[in-house]
Amino acid sequence: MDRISGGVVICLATAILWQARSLPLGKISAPGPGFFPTVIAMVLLVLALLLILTGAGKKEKTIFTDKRAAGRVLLVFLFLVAYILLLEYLGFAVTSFLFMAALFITVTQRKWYSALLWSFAATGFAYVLFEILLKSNLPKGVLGF
Amino acid sequence: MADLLQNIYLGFSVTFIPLNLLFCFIGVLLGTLIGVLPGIGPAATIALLLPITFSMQPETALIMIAGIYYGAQYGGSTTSILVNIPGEASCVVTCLDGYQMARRGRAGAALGIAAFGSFLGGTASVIGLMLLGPLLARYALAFGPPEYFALMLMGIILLTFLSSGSMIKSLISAGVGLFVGTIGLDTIYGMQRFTHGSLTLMDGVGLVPVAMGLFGIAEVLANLEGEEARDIFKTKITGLLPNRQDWREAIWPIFRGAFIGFFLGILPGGGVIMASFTSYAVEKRIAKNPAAFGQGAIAGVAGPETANNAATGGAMIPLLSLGIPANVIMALLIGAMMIHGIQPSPFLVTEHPRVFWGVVTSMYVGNALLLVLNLPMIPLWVRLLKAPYGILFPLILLFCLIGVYTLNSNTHEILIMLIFGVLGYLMRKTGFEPAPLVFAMVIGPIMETTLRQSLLYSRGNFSIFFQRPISAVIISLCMLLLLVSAIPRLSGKREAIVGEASEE
Repeated sequence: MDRISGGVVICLATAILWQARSLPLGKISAPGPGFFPTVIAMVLLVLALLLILTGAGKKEKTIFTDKRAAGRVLLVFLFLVAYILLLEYLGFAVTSFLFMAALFITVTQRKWYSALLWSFAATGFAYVLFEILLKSNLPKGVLGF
Repeated sequence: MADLLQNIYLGFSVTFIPLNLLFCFIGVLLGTLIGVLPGIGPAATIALLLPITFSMQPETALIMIAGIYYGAQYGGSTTSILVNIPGEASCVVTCLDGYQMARRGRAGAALGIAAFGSFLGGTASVIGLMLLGPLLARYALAFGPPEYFALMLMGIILLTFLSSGSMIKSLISAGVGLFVGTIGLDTIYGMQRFTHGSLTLMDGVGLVPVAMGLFGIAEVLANLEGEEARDIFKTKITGLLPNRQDWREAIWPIFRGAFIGFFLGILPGGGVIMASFTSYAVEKRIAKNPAAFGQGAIAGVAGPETANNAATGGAMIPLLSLGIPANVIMALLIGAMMIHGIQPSPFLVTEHPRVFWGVVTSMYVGNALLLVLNLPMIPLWVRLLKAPYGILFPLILLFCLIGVYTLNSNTHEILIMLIFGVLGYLMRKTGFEPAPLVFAMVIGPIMETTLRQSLLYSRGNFSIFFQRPISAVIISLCMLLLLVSAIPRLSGKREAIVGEASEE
């Protein structure tokens, strides 16, 4: 596992170096905008190599042991993505209600009426707190609310 | 002395403004609540509430955030004692004897002594903060960019040194944080870096979405995997007041705990957890009957509980007097300060006396509030503990989503939160600590600026960091720490010190 994460860090560091090429490095007596990111990327490279070296002999543990649990995590992640995509289109109230209902029904497996009730209560609570008490400007959807 | 009294008077006059008192109350109440609730910690809560503090006076905002921080320590000890689940990492040791006491029908006394110990520890640390803070700040006037850079570097190295798990991984986490901190406009020339023309990224990656992602979303995702069984006591809690015998056994551990906690809290990097562990180890070592520890010794509850609260006060010293965050919560506090246009610096005490003294005295008032409020409310907290996670986690997610959106009415901020949520989840799975990332991200820009200023000043000569006495000492300490962790035999000791903390 350490080797994989080390590899990911190396990719990240290389990407930073690649991106930082366009930034002026400056001189050592007057470092430019590219100086600090380049230094960080090099430090990351060294650390990643160390990680790979020290992790080479270790026993590997699989991290996703429970398939059903991993499925739950993926499902929640997809709902979160859907929330972002729908928020400005459907508006805060509808999206939040759907999001909560989806979580309650699929992930926690409530009965549909209890799920709807809880979703309604949660959305209402959030609406009162953010829209009325904190006066934040929550997005309205195509339906006008 | 007259100065001090005048400052304390100023502090209390700020604290006792009804609005500040109200938010102090809200802070400690929320803190206790999330300390009790599973799956949400003070870091996520503070990140969640940062947007709300935008419209407040800076002192009000900081008073509330500080309240959440030490309130969570209270709540965390309650769950440690009653269900053997530490609400916060710093309450891990409280489980050892607190839970045993509860099993023997002495839950009341354990909760009571934890509350009193916390109050006394908090009080002692506030007094220490009052005395030491301005002193340190005066000393800090000799600080230039090289000293600052050295201090920030030490902050990162200490935090990674003390964090549980592999130090290399923690350093990588910090490195990624430093990189995230460079996204946006360059601090000196105002040049765009890594923005790809995105308007959202031009302001830099926001602290709130990152912290909410790493601590809020990631925490929820990780908790979804395991369903922990919560074995809650059915017995009624009676006799919250410890009896005379309890006091006799607990009073010295409380004194020692306050002392240990305060001084370990000052150290940058996770002082609170260290404090409670050290206090427990000390009490066990000097006890007449060490075998009683782990079997429900009241000293094993009183000492660490006092120490972790004393450490919260100690942790405020480097923050308020030098502008250096001692841990991730303090890093969030700095984030809140910068939002209000207060730069963390040694001049904070002189430039913003209302903020410094107001926050300090509010901690005193907050500790008293916690004691008065929480003793009678323990049954309520116990009932809340039974709140099913199936209802809690969708709510946490919804609040994170809406909270981040309301920052700038921008869905891109939610996207950033989600990215860091997934990153945080994967980091948890692979053994990377998220705290150094956030910490490094906050201090990154200051580090970069001071490094570049130092090099400008010395005309590119790195020896500037060794020619100036203060920075030379700090840099040598950093190197020593790195060296210690690189030598296998010694690094085993490091793991022995901090390893227990990760056994949650």
